[in-house]
Amino acid sequence: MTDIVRLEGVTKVYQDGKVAVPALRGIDLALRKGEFVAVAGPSGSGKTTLLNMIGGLDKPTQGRVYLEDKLLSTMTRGELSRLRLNRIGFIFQSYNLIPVLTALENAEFVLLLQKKPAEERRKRVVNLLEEVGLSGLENRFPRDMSGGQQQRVAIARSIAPEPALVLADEPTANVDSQTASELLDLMEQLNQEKKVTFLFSTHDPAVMERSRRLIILKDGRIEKDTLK
Amino acid sequence: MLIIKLAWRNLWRNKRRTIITISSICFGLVLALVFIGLGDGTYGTMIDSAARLGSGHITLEHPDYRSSLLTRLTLQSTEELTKHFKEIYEIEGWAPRILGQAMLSTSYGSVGAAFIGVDPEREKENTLFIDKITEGRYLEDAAGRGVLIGTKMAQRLNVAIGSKMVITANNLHGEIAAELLRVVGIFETGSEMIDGYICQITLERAQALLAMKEGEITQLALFITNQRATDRVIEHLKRILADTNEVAVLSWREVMPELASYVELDGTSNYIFQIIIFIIIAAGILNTILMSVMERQFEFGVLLCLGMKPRNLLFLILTESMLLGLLGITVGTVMGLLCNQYFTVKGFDMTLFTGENLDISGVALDPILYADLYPDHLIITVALVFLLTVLVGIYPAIKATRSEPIETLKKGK
Repeated sequence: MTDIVRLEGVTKVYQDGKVAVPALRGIDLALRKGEFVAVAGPSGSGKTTLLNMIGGLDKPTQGRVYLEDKLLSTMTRGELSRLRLNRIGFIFQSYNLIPVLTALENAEFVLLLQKKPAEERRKRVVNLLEEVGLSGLENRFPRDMSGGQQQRVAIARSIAPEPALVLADEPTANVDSQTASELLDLMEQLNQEKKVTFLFSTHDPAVMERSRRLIILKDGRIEKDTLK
Repeated sequence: MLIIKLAWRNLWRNKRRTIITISSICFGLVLALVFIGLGDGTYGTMIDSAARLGSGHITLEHPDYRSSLLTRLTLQSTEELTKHFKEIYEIEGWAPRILGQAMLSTSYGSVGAAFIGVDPEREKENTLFIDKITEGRYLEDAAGRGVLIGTKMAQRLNVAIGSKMVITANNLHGEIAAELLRVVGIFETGSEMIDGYICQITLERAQALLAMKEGEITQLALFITNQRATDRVIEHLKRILADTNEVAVLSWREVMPELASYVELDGTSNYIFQIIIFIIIAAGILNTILMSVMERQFEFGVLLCLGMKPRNLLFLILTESMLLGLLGITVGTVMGLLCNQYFTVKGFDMTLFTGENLDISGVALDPILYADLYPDHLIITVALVFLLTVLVGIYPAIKATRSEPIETLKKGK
């Protein structure tokens, strides 16, 4: 399997007034294609910062981050934007669907940004919504959907452009355990069928349990990296 | 299409705020259109009144007359000139005039006056003096000795209908000449200057007084259907009369410069007033859009995160401004036109403020002002309001796109 993501000596220090706060310290990490990885750790351990680095949303203070062998720190704002658009899917803790778009329109949003032809877009998204169990709810707005349903739409949105990597920041934090389990089933299924790499940041033991690789962060360092 | 769909739906996320903003644009535009319509109507009425009580919308006269006002500077033959008028459809009438300064004397006393020698038949079709007659009648007999005077002059000379008076003037030979006149009509325009100083006699009587030849006149007053066509008609006339250098073609602006200055000054101050109103409204719109942008910082962070280009985010917010502006100006234009239509038909009664007499810059006006919104003023005003609405969206749009996605995500949290 090839490396989708590679971090070499990545350190991130934030300036909080006059105080320097290290969020990541010398992280070396490689993720392979098709992996199903959870990053866990207490609050402040650097989970979200790690995801932001990999997603091209933030740049390291030191070290290098590669996505599909492309060095992110040398990319312009526009190049990073295109990278996120075409190669990375995002799933947020609070779903973050666009409130004025329907489930179908949300799911096809990234495809619209990619300027995919309408027919191809619709076909892919309708199939995806069916796969995530939302058949019949295409025209519902987020305000008329449950948390679980919204997160399913978010999953469909992240998968629709067929990215190399999906970054999920605490995707089960705002749903009940039954729904969380269903969402995990879904993401696992998509991971196995479509070979999309999933990287979660999580506090949820259920997510840690279901991941096939568990990385524990503490104080910005990798404390444990276990392949199950 | 995505941007337009998103922008349209975003407008209605907060219906109350959007409706209030649209209403403020609408209100501003209605106010502007009504003021401008009333202004355009008033200026048009002033110009028409002044033209029909004075030297017409366009005046043809000797090229040197205007600078010297010498009676001997005349137009010799009007047939050559008037035969071309049929080609110009905007010209609805014309009247030959003789102008001069004279003394009017009665047994009671004498006053200085400006006299206008007129062709009564031609004048009946064009002049406003007929409508202003309060006693007696208008001049009828072209060869007669009738005189039409204003109320103030009648008071000063202590004359009434049927009274005799003598008009004395220097003729073209420099001799003092006199003619006997009889008052046939007394008019009141409301203008102190006209009612106290101007009188009308027949063309033939004026020619006799000044020892002019038959057909010799001071000027031709032209009356056109819409005073806004003045410049166009003048251009046309100048082309037709290009071969002759014995006649000057003047617009009412050149013949009545005080009126022209007033119209321009008042019009300018009207526009300045409108701009101030627009700026106040723009401040309100800016506040609305800025609030809407600040509320959605986190959402913008998500959009940028998903891969939306910052410039598309900028277009999104600008499109929201544009749609807001379009809605506001559409409703505002319809309501503004309806209000203008009302004031075009019913008028705006100024008697509460001015009394029965309204005199602006020496021009007597009906105190009920009627609107007449010019199409180009409508277009300019609407375009200005729309442009302003879009411009106020620029700062919030740039502000939203300047941040990095991670910063807006953090701020939003």
